[in-house]
Amino acid sequence: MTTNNLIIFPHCPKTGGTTLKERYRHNNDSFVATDYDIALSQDTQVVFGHTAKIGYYESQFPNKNIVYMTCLRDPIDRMMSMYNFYKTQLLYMYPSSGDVDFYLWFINKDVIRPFQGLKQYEYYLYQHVSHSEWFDSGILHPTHFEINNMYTNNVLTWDIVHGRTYVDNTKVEYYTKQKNKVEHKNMNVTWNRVISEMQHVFFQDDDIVNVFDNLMNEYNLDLIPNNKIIRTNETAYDLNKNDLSYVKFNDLDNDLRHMMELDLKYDIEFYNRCKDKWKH
Amino acid sequence: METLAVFHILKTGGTTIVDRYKHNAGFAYQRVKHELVLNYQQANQITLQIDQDTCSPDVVFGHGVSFDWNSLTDNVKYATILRHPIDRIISAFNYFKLEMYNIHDVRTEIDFSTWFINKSRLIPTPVFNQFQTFTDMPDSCLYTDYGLNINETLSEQLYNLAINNINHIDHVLFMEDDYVKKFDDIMINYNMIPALDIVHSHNTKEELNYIGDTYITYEKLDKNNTELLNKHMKKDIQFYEYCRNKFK
Repeated sequence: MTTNNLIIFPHCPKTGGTTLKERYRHNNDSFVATDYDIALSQDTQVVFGHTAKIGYYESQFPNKNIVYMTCLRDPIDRMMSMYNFYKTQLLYMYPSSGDVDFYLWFINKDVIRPFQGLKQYEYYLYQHVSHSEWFDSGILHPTHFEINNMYTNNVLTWDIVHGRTYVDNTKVEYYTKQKNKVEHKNMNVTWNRVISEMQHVFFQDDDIVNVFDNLMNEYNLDLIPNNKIIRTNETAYDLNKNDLSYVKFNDLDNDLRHMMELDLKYDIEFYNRCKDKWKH
Repeated sequence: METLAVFHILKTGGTTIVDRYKHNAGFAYQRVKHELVLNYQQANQITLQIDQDTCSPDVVFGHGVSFDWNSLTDNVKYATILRHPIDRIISAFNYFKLEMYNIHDVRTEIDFSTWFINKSRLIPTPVFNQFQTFTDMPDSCLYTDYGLNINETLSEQLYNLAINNINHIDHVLFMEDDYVKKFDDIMINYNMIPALDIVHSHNTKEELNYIGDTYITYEKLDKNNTELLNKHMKKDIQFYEYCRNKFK
């Protein structure tokens, strides 16, 4: 049965998408994983991947019924998964690498190589074709890239009396307020203009394989899943091979947990809004 | 009156010079491109936005100095201090660990290779190639492939630009020489009086020891790390050697 539906699945890293991709991509030419640089055609039924854009395919396939769907994960669990996954990627590139402490990784997560970790709402924001235009026009806060200023040496002040530099908490508070202002605005834009494009949002703590299979059937897609694939990434296993353990949120000390919760404040709010709207 | 604008490249001994001269009335510190600090680190410190109307200091020194001074003042000369790139990058790694402690109160466990492939972007203290200072992309990242390789084309373009621009620098000193003395000789022309007791500011090694960490030297790096270092620092070493031959 031929369908006119074209499913677009932006795959936010560390939300379970690799399992769904691997379950479908091998047996189905019409299931296009964007990671593999395969050209789309009129026969394409699913575009799936980290680089799947939001708002792009409408002009490419004007006669298709475009349907957006995605999977989200609890921001704290997701961030811990990213940290652990980061270490496996580093070891893959440089097998002699040492461990990387959580704090250093966390304050640098959006730039650190080989695997950068954006917040969940940031990922969707940057997948929208219009996000650069929104930054330029002031719809988004243009200083989004400065939200980590409170972790830089901008917070230092010279103590004239004692002849030394010190961390100035007034500056830390200032940059934290700035960060919250920027994130509040940009998360709201993501909520109002980006995630609102999704017809289906499901959650990593659901039975995502079953949910995704059902959606493929619901849209009459002519796809055959590989039923043997129900789970893929084994970060904990890869870490163990290198004598490292998977670090969980509860393994962190109180200060780190608190820092993480504060930093992810708007990502948590974004996730909770999505849960209220889509979690059945 | 002539202004001396001094490019301060991270980990080339510049803080010692700043500490030695900051008490002079005509000395200004430029940490970032658009700001000038007078009476730096003194009770009467003031910060000015740099524009055409800003007073012309006798000497301006800092990470924010650029060839913009050509248009900011009628009469400018330039100076800089270079350091052997391997020594500099090892120093920058140790300094990064110290900054993590000083700013964040955290003793980081980051290893050399992870820091090295991320050095241009890790806060609190990003570090770039020395030669990039003399280009229009001083804080750009030259890596590709998740940090495995260098963008050779861009690197070559910037190198050529740096070679062209370093020839516009009037005084190129080398940290390995008696650079404090040589700098003093230049500063006489600008009526600057040195604080003779200040000959060395940062002591990263001692400070790391104090917090229970160890200063990593080149000799302590394993073969993988020295290979990584030598492979990725080629252009910066080439630039340094060019300057040694030309300016020593």
